[in-house]
Amino acid sequence: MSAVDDLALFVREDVRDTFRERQFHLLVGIYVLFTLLVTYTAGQASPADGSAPELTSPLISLFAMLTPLLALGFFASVLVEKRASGALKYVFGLPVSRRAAVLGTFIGRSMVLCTAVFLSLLAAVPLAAVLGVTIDPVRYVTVALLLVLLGVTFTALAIAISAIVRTTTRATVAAFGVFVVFFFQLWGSLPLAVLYVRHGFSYPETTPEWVDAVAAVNPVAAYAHLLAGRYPDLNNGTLIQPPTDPAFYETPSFALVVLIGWIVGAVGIGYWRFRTTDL
Amino acid sequence: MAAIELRGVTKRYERGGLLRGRSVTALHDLDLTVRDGEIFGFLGPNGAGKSTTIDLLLGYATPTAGTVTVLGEDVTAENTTARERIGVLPDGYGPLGERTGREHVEFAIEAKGADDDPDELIERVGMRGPDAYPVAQYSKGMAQRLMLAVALAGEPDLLVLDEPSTGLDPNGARTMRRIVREENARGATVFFSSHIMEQVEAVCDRVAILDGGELVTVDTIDALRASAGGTATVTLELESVPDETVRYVRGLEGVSGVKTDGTSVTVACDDAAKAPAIAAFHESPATVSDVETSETSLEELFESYTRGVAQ
Repeated sequence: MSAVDDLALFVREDVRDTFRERQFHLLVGIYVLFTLLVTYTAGQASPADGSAPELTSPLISLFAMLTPLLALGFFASVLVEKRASGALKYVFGLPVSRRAAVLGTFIGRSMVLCTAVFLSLLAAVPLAAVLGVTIDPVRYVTVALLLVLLGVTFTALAIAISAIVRTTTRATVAAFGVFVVFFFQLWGSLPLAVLYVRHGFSYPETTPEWVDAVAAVNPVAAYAHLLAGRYPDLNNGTLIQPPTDPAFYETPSFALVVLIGWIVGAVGIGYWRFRTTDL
Repeated sequence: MAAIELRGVTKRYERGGLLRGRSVTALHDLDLTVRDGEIFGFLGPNGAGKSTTIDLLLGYATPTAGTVTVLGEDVTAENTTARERIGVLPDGYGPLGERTGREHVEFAIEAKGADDDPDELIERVGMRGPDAYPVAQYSKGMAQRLMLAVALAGEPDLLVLDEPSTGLDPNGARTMRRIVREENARGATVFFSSHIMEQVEAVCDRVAILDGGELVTVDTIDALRASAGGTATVTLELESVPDETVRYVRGLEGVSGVKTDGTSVTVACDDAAKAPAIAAFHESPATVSDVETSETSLEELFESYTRGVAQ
């Protein structure tokens, strides 16, 4: 069989696994539940200026945190669990390559996450109509696409963890660490810490540019910059405050490159480590 | 062409640690050739390195040194060419998520690009019925039968079976042996590991004995028996013991001792001398009421090969 057929088969069965294990149902359930809750809450609120309440803004501020959390929580143990149970001995006893396993799991789980996001946003539409919550369709879909991009990035990080570590406990700890570092902006503090030490345990009066540049490479920051480029007025739901006058590394196009870089880099490193590891 | 060829294979497991890193050598400079079309038994006590060798054959692990060639292909984790033609029953496998037995077989058929009928394979290993349930709920023996069905997918040229009869009931073990013979008759090479000598003897053309990560010997069971120098025994129940015949038998070639105890006679001899000894008593005036023979105990044979190296 060709490498493409090999990969297609793996993706197909991996997606079906999420059905067999009810992971798909659970993920869609969580998303739909939160979406309906947010829609309902938005319907109850009445903006001060008397205009109709709007859905995209409250939804994205919740989903920006929920999506990385769910991607890491659901997917960081996928491969490592199969390794621990011995399922990989069954899989790799067949003519399945390690590349197909890593890439296939990434593609399959990304598809599942995207489907869950879109299904939940779709489910909100009729409820919003009933409650009189307005939805700007273009903005709604654009935001959905951005959320999906953020979700795929964290799925890539989760699969990388899953391919590299050897036990489920470590996968859980690593996933938690990745979330804290990226979402709670520890990433942005690291260059500051380096700066502090290098400056003789005190902060210099001016912060050099590279500190901000490093902070912008955080995938969550990149997502915030990407969103700010399109809809500067939307609350992005992260702890990042996009600057009003962005430097080039804070522009949407750079942010897009950063996110794609994380996806390719994480899957690539995961595969590179997984390729030669002993089962 | 050799089905399996190991050249100077060493596998060391390193355990990282800042101060007290440790390494265990599971295989040391192993050379092994399995010919095309033979049934090859791979014997050794627990921890001898049997599963490690199989891990290397399948690309589950990478050798620290040496080369592993299977069906003419260099084995690496990413070279799936050889695995298209190998059927595997690994050790320490587990179920893939919630997939049913049937789905496991179907996935194997599809991954190998074969066109087998999954029902036929399931039938062949005697697993009708449970195939519709998730493998996670199977008993050990059921899972073992299922993995055999998976191994048979795509008419493999080489079957690699790691302790195949683990957990099988006598019927299952018989089915396993029958299938091994059938597959071999079809032209497949069979490589299987075991720590139970009797099973190996029942089907194997040649055996290798591994101990402490090193190959102790490779030969046929008969040759091993002969070189191990063990003795067989013949015990006869007679009406009365004819002294003359006892003297005659004692003088036969290959007989190392004759012991009489009341009306029974025990002859210790090598395998070739058993028939003449029995014939001699039959021709004597005394009526023979019962004959029992035993071969060199396989267990003794196994021990004689594996003791020295391990300690």
